[in-house]
Amino acid sequence: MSVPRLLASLACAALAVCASGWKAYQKNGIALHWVDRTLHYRLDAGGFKNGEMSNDAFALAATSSFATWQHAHCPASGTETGVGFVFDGWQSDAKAGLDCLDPPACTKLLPNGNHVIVVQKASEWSHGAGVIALTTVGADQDAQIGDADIELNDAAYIYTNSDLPPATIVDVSNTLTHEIGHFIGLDHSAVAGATMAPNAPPGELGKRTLATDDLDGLCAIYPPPNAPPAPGPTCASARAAPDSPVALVALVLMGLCGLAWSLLRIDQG
Amino acid sequence: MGRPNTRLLLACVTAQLLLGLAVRPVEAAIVRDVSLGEMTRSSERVLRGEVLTTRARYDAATRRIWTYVALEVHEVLAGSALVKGARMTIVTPGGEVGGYAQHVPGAPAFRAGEEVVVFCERTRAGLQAHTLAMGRFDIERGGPEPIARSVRRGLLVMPDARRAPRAATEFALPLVRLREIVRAEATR
Repeated sequence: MSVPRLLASLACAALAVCASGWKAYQKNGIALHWVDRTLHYRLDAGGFKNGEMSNDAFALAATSSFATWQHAHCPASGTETGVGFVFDGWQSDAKAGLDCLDPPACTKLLPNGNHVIVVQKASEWSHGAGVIALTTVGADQDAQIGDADIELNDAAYIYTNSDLPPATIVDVSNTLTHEIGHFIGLDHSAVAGATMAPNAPPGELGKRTLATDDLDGLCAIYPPPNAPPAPGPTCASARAAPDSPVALVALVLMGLCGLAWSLLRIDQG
Repeated sequence: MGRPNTRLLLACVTAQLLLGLAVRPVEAAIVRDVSLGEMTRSSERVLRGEVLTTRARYDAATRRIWTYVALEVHEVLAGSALVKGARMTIVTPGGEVGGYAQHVPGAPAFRAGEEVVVFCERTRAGLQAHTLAMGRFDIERGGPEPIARSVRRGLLVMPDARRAPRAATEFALPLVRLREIVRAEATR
């Protein structure tokens, strides 16, 4: 293979990866990921404050939102990724966060393996009144996720699991399906209509269902068992940090693609 | 295949390059679309200043990592007055302690030396930028007049039902205009 043709192939492979809109959180150029694909979660037994949703409805919304990701089929292989979610039950006095191993200094932190969806009351909410929901993902230097918690602001918002939510009420399944994308390491996507897109019109339900772009992201971070196992530096993660070396390589490759194709076309007259 | 296809490919590559350069890091939280007026009225102070230091620390009460940001105050746009050069500490969720990092969706990042305007909201954890990254503006002084730019990276914005939806990506205006709006809202 001639050098221009090789460069063209490499660059166009980069372009193909970059053509999708999904992005992954990354650490040191590697997409954040769970090593064990069976993920356990618990739900806040305190539930919602004014009984706008029963705990049964809350559990149904959560399990169906996790199931949406679990049973997604990768477009390329037609198979599931093997990422599974196990509902470990209700947790009293549920709290998001990490454990400290060496108080009071707390320089050694332990991801406690207790991944919770917490419904935060006014006295517990730490993020300001304008924040509706938030996912915190903790990872080590190898980009391995050790802890993830989803917090819902029950101090200032009303949630529902209705299929016809009023425009002023937050649909919890729509919210959770999006937040679970962050839970597994996905960032926002530039693709309109994707579950991981960064906008949510009032009363929206569309994020309950994954778009092809969401599936592409899921399956790139967690390839199905017959595909290469470890998530490596991806163009998507590079786009999440365009000043990183990986991003620069990708950008250079894209430029070389154009140059190589020009040379090819000129050679061929 | 002839030149037109080559030109088309080059155009695509150029577009991809521009797209790649335009994208910036993002994280994610779902927030309400809060107006400048509302942010002003519900902020304890609105400050312009320079970031002096940042330090991440675990907080046992909230069981999470917070980054403590020391600001040298140059101007109080709203709220009770401070001596020029006074120091204030604000907190922002997330950071890295002992090799373990917490990524907190939509949280504003601060670096030493940056000039910023921060809408400081009192929360259980201390003074924070209002509604995560919505309450932090970069001050850019490269042009004819200083620009205040809110880079709302990582925020999934749920628009107020009474207002038209708008993109969550960026919001910029001249610093002098931001100052006018904040002062007007603070005295309403």
